[in-house]
Amino acid sequence: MTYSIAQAERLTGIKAHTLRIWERRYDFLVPERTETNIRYFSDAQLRKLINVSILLKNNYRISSISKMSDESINVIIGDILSQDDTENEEIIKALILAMLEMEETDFSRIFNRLVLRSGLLYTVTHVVYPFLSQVGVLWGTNKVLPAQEHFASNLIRQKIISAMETLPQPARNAPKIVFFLLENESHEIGLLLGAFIAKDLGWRVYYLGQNVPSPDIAMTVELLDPDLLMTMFVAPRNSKSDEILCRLIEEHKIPLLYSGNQNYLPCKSPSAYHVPMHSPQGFISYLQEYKQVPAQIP
Amino acid sequence: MSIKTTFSIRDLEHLSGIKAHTIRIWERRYHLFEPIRSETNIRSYDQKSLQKLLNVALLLDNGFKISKIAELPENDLYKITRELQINSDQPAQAMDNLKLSMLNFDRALFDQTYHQLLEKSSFRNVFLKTFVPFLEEIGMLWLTKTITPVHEHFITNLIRQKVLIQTEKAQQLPILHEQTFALFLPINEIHELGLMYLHYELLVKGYHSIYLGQSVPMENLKDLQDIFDRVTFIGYFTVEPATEFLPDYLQEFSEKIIKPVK
Repeated sequence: MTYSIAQAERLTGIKAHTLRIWERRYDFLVPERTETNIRYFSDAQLRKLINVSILLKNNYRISSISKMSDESINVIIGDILSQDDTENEEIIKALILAMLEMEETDFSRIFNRLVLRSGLLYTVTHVVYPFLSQVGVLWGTNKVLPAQEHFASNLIRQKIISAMETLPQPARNAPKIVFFLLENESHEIGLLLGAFIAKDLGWRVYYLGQNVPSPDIAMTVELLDPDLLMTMFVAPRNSKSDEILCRLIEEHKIPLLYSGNQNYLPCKSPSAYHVPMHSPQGFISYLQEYKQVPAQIP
Repeated sequence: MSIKTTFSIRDLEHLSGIKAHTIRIWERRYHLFEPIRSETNIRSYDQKSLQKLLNVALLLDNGFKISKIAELPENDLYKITRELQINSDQPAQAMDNLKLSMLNFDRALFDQTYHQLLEKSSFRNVFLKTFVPFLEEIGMLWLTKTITPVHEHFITNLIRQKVLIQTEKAQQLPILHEQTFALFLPINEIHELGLMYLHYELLVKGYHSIYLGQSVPMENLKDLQDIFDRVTFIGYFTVEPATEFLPDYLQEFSEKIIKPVK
């Protein structure tokens, strides 16, 4: 995998202009050139650049960094990241590094430490989301994801599901919320976070996951009689499936909470039963105000 | 609540494996069940009847005669089946509970059943001897419209969660072997439960296993060869690529991924 100077800039926060100066002044980071003489960085160079950007943030000077061996850089970075007050920005960079090298152990250690320190909700909203959007910047937002991103998002999904398991069971008469993704929608992390939040607030969560055709949602509503539905609209879908969903919501007067891309909403004239969620915090407030929830079973 | 609480005689047949014809005979001869009749005189059964029938089926499998079973007070019926369960490797009661938890969208019952199984045997056993046969049966129940796809979504997501939780634990284990495995599904393939389980097994055996999951383009697998020295790829093809394209896919795989390394 190779990275352009613009990609390196966005990922490390170091200006392209600065990178070019360093190239002339120091020899620790000389990018390769394409046949048409355009600079690009290798995986190893990008990793080094991310490390350098973390050191710069921690008041090291580029003149001294340029003289450090890779080993001593790794030791210092390790120290920085193990401090309790590590800034989110640095944690995100460390996650990106672990992702690029597919280092499950490092990735897990960083993630689990943060969950322990600040809770899952904070970890996902303040670190995982920015992490994913930076990664998206890195590789563009097309549907085809590189192996590293597959690796990272599967790991994050696993962590959210494991964390959900530790939450207490809801009361038998708690309100019900159904989570699903329509056909073609495959990004589960946001949906899982929603399920985690709802369970944490004492709701009965019915998680149907990916690829649920809308006629099946209709069936779910009939079988379960849920209080709320929650989904994400991220990808374009076929319109027939959308129609069924829109009709269902109006007929049953059941609120559909959603987040995602405004361009891919299913209904032409959204009514009051369509409730956009703009942030995890907004989702939390909505659930809290919606209904009194009985205490969980310890 | 409007969860599916009544079942047709066909549903009962599919869920218990006992023929509708036989159920009708038992009803007349032993008054084993009291179905509710619709205005047009069609039988329907409640949850309790289903549960009872599942227990009866289990006793029959264990050599009890129907005449004797019919005489048992209901409490004894459940007591005997539970004892049979404890003393047997056949997780039939667990299967029944899983079915009920699925039909009722009852997560608590699912969790309880799962934890009981886990007390008696390893996760591997629970997965291979209970979950896999259960999932196979679900496929059947779905075909006969006894359950809906929603039931299937609900229950497979629960099973998936259990696999992932075990995986999370297995990742704490030390890595004993140098070899790296990379697990992927080809593009547009999303059936991942089997692959997830393999990932778990590799971790438990001390291998370095990397889970890439759904819909991975072949091109992107090369990235792994840049990072790791020796990678063994494991793909899992349920519906993609279609059988007629599979030879082409494998051919392309060996040209693009396997050969360049050698």
